[in-house]
Amino acid sequence: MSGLESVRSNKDEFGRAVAKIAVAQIGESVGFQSFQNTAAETLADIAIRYISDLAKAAQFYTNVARRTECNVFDVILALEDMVPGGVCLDASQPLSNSTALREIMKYVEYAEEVPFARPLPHFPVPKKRTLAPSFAQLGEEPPGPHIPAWLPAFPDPHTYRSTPVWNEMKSDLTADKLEQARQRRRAERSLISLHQRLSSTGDGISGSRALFPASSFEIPQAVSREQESMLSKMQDAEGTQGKGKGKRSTASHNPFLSPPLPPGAREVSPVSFRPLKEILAKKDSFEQQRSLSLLDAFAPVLNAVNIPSKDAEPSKDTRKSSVLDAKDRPPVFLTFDFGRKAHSKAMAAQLSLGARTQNLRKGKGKAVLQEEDKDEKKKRAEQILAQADDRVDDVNS
Amino acid sequence: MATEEMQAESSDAALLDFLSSLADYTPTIPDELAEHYLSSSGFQCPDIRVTRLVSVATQKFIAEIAADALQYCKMRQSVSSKERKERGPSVKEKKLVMTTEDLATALREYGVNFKRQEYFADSPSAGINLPSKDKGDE
Repeated sequence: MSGLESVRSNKDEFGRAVAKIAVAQIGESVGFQSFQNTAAETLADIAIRYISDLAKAAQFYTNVARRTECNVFDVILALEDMVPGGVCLDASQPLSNSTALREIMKYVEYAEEVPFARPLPHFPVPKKRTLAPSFAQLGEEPPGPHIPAWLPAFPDPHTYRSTPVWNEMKSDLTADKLEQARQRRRAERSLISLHQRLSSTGDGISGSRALFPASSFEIPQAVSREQESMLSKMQDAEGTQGKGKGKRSTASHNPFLSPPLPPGAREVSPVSFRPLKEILAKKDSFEQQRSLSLLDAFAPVLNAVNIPSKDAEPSKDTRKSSVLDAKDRPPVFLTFDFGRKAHSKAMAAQLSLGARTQNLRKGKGKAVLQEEDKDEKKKRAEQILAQADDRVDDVNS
Repeated sequence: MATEEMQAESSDAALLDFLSSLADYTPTIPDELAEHYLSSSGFQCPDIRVTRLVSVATQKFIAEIAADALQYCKMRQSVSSKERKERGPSVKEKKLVMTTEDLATALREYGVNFKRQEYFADSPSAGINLPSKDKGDE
């Protein structure tokens, strides 16, 4: 395309597309059925160029006549320039006689009126610009009297200067730890109250029950107080005030460090060894279970087994237990654990064995079974509590 | 002198009539398009009839070019007599497509040199050794 100076501009694509459509419509009115793409684009370029040239020439004539707004006569003069092989106008003839104009008039008369296919908006559409707010709009005072208030405001200093970002979260580590300890204490208290509620249904030894809850309350409190004292020690490196406080608290409140009580100062209930069956028959209390020996944990197994156990103490023979033959005996799995978790595991083992004893004792009365059911449910709940206890202890340590 | 004055009056009257008729006429080139390109060239006119005059003039120009191209297209179609013999009466049913060749020939009369690459070759010596190869249009 050497003849035409068609510079591809991205902004003008819409105009070009519209011109292409218009040109195609003109071609259709002439008689063409289809266009080659290149041919259509070329013709659109020519049309745009023609309009621009007409406008330039008309504006030139307007400016020459000391005007700024164009006239119909300016356009006629421009047309005279553009028409190929057009007749030159004389100065004597009026402009309305121009051949170009007459030709156009003829064209309008004879040609079909083919309006444009689509409705068009007025383009180019102006972009809405959000202006920067002025000093007056922001309500700011312009720095310096030489700056009027209607000018746009200065940008914020953080956009062009590196202002320090201060970290207000200088977290009080010690305060956080205290808060943590406080929350743990709350959790312990709620667990212990749950213990109490479960155990309160059982009869148990009143003395032991009275003791244990009290001590259970005391212990975590003592532990928490101990924590607080340690924290206060850590916190106050300066001053003897903190230290004095700590010492005082440990001396007075920690029962583990307090001097032992003289004998007879406190009433202690005597320990009684009850037969196992009696203990099992009653609704057990959580505290009593704790005082049982390891062998007692396997009591249901021994009860189920008919043969008198070889390793059992002679006292066991007095217990009424039905022991099966060696071949019918269910296998006994021994696991040795020490520490806090031993008790919870023993409880679990007891429960599982208790289920087996139920199966073996199918023949026995319903009342017995029901009691054992209740026992097992209790044991299950207590086992869960024991596990929770272990976890709490873990957290505390 | 009198006749000239009368002529002038009649032509002025004709012009006025024409302008008033332009107000109703809708040219194929839309007003918005014409106004866009007129304003980008510096043409300022609040009168819509003047804008319509410009768009009508352009429409006439393009229509003339298209008519010439159509002539060339029809000439090309009627040249091949062999096809007529082969197809019989159904020759005229060919589609009228405006090709760049026809357009280039039509534009030459208007002073516009629209030349395109006829074919693209890999090297200057391509296609020389094969005499049966036609000059393909690209």
